Amino acid sequence: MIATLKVAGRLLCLLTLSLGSVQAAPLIASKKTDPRAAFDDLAIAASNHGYTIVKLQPVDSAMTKRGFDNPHVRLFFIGKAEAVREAEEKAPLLMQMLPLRIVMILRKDEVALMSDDFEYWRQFFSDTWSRPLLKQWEEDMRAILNDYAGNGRPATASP
Amino acid sequence: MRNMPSLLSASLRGMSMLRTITRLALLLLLTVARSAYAADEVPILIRNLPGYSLDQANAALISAITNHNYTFVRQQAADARLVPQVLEGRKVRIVYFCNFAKMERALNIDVRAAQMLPCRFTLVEAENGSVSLIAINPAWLSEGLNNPLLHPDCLELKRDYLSIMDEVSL
Repeated sequence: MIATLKVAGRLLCLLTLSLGSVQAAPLIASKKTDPRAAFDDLAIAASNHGYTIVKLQPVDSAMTKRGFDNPHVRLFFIGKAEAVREAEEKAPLLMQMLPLRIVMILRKDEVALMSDDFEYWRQFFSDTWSRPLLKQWEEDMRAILNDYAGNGRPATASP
Repeated sequence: MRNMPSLLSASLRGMSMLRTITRLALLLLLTVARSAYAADEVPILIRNLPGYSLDQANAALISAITNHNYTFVRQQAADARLVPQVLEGRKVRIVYFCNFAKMERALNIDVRAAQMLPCRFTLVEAENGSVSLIAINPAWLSEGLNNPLLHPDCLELKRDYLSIMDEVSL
C-alpha cells in the first residue's frame, strides 16, 4: 500500500514538473576551478567571440556585507556594440536582454555559469526580426560557455 | 495482546503513511497552484510617459524606486563600456535597482531567480521625443522557471514594478 502511494507520489511529482506549457532551460557550463580563474576564463571565452565583460555584480559580497545569507552568486554582463545596434534597429524590445547576463554560481571547488533562457524568449518573440537575433545570441552564449568549460576552443585568448 | 515490537512497527507504518499522504497533498497543492498561473503573463511591461524628457523620466523613476523600498544600483547606456563614453547612445537608459531582502528570499528558493537580478527598468526615447518605460515582467520569467514556490514572489515583484510605473507616470 505504502509502496503504491510512494510510486503515485513520484508520478505526480513528475507530472507537476512537466505540466508547464513552456519550460525554461538556461545554458549551463560548470568546471572545477576557483572564482578568480573562472573570471579570467570567462573573460577570455567572451573575448574569443567578440564580447566584452561590461559589468560584474558581486551579489555574494553585496549581500553578506549587509548581513544577508551568502547566495554564492555573482552576475556578469557581457556585450558587443554590434549586437546593441542590431537590436535597436530590428527588435527594440529585445534590448531588455542586453547586455547579456551570465550567472556565476560558486560551489566548493566548482564554478558554474548559467545564461538566460533564450529558447523561452524565442517562444514569445518569434517574429522575423527577433528570432534570428535570439538564435545568434544563444549560439554565441553556447560557444562562450563551451570555451569556458574547455569543451570548445581551448580557453586561451585569440591571437 | 500485541507485544511492543509489533506495536512499534504498526506505529512506524502509520507515520510513514501519514508522511506519504502529506507529500501527496503538497504535490497536489503545487499542481493546482501551477495551473493557476499557467502561461498567462505578458513578457514585457510598458508605460508611455507623455510630456517627459528622458532626464525627467529618469529622475522620477529613481525617486519612485526608492519610494517603494528598493535601492537604486546604477544606470547606464545600452552600449556602456562597448564604445567610447562620448559615443554612447543617449536614447536608451538602463536603470538597475534591488531590494536585498527580496533578493535573498528569491535566491534561497531557486538560484535561477538570478536571471531576474538585479531588477531593471529601461527608459527609451523615440525619434519623436516620446519616452517609454519598459521592464521584463518577472511573473512571465517565473512561468518559464516553472517553480511554484518562487512564483508568488515574482507576482509580488511584478506588482511592485507596476506600482513604480504608476508613480512615474502620474
